[in-house]
Amino acid sequence: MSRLTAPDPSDVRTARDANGGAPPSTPRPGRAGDGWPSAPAPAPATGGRAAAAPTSAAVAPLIQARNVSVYYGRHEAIKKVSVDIPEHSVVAFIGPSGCGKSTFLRSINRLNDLIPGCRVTGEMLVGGTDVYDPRQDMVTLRREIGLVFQKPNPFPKSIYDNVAYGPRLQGIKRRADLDPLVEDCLRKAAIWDETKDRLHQSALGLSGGQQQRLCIARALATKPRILLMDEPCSALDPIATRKIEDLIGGLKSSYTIVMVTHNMQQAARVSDRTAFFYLGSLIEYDRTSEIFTNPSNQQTNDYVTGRFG
Amino acid sequence: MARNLHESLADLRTRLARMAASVQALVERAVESAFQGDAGMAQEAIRSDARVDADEVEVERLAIDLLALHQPAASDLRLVTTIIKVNSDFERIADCAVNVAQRVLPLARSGGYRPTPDLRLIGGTVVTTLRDTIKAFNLSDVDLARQVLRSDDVVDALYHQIVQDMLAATERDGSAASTNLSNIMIAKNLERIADHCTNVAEDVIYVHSGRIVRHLHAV
Repeated sequence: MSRLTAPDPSDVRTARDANGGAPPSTPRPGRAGDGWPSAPAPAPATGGRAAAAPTSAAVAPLIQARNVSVYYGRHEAIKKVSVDIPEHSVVAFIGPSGCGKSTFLRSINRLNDLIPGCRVTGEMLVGGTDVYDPRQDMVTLRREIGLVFQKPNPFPKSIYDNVAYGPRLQGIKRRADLDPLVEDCLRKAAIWDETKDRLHQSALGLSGGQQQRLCIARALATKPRILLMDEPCSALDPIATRKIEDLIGGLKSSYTIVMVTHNMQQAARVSDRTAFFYLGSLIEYDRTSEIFTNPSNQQTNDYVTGRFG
Repeated sequence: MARNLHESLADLRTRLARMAASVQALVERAVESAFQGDAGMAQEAIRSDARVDADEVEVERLAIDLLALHQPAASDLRLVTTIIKVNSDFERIADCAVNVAQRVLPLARSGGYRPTPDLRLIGGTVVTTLRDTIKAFNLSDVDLARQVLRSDDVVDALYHQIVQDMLAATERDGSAASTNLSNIMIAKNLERIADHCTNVAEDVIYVHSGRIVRHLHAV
């Protein structure tokens, strides 16, 4: 039982996967004329302290934030955040209340635009296009990036009409086109079996968990590439939460999901990568397993171990 | 269970430290019984194992409760999973010491037993190694843990020397075969204790750095 000399523990941090363990992401087939370049763009040099997003060199990340700052009046709510989010991954934003994670999430699809005094600097590239470019078509942007809120917010319409709402706005009117689309979205959102016999009843009659899955189905109906979720389970019971979490795992093969959560166990369960925000700065961004077993940063360690926040 | 994670974790650490202290006392008593050829001391060592066994079960139960109730993460998670492993190593160390004491009993009763100088040396080294191991764990002292890993080589070398010497002695004088075999078995159990100490030392490095250094034979 000979054990030779001990390895030097001083080079602890050098063994990290240089590639960050990025999952193999497949290039998305081109969609002509939608203004979303599908060819991998050369990754620009990254600025900011936490830019080293773990992605493969061959495929540019779907979302690339470059020194993004968000100001509410004079207050800098987000401070020069740089982050790369690869396609077909689930990224969780964690951090104490007021740390800026929701603000940053909303800056991805310009949902802060309507807040008076809100100003965004830096670049937010989605599919290589800066979403803050004045020529950006907002209808396309919102179609490509779906949003699911904390509280389920179905329209006071039938289940069917909730899902068909977006496609109808896009000009899809025929039942022959809408029916399979509605079914497909409800199936993807894992709520088809519970709703197929009551499609034309009010969505408000569904339970909270069912309503949230309906909202996800509604978000999927416009065929987005990205789903942003702002605490999607915080108003749900544990069983409904479990269903949404399972759903997120299933959706990532087709979509890229960015979620804000206060539930760290949820971040640990569903995400591939986790970003920890504190006081408007991105403190650490790494594979989720690293963040929850061996974070590089002491503040991250203190937060995930519940020592502050 | 109204207490919070950090109180529970501190309590778990304290209980493990207390258990490790019992193990240390048991090992010292067993080794001393071999040095003195003292059957009474060997009996005492054997009896004190029951307490270590009970402590081990209690530490494991508390650690599992803590995982279930608090879901620790990052450095806390590394500490709890490591406590579960180290707890089992300490219990095995106590078992090895009991094996030593059980070998001492017949030797002591036959009278006139004197351990060889190498056996004294391996016994003393293992007692020191265990003391350093427990200290390294309690204080999260990585440098001391690395020292423990190095000292295992000395114990291994001593063990192999004792085996060779005892075999040679038995070839010379067959009537001493039984005593010589007991010496080998005592040395073997002491060598196993040092191995468990290296496990604990590796875990000290893991808790500190998140790096698993087991099976890495680099300098």
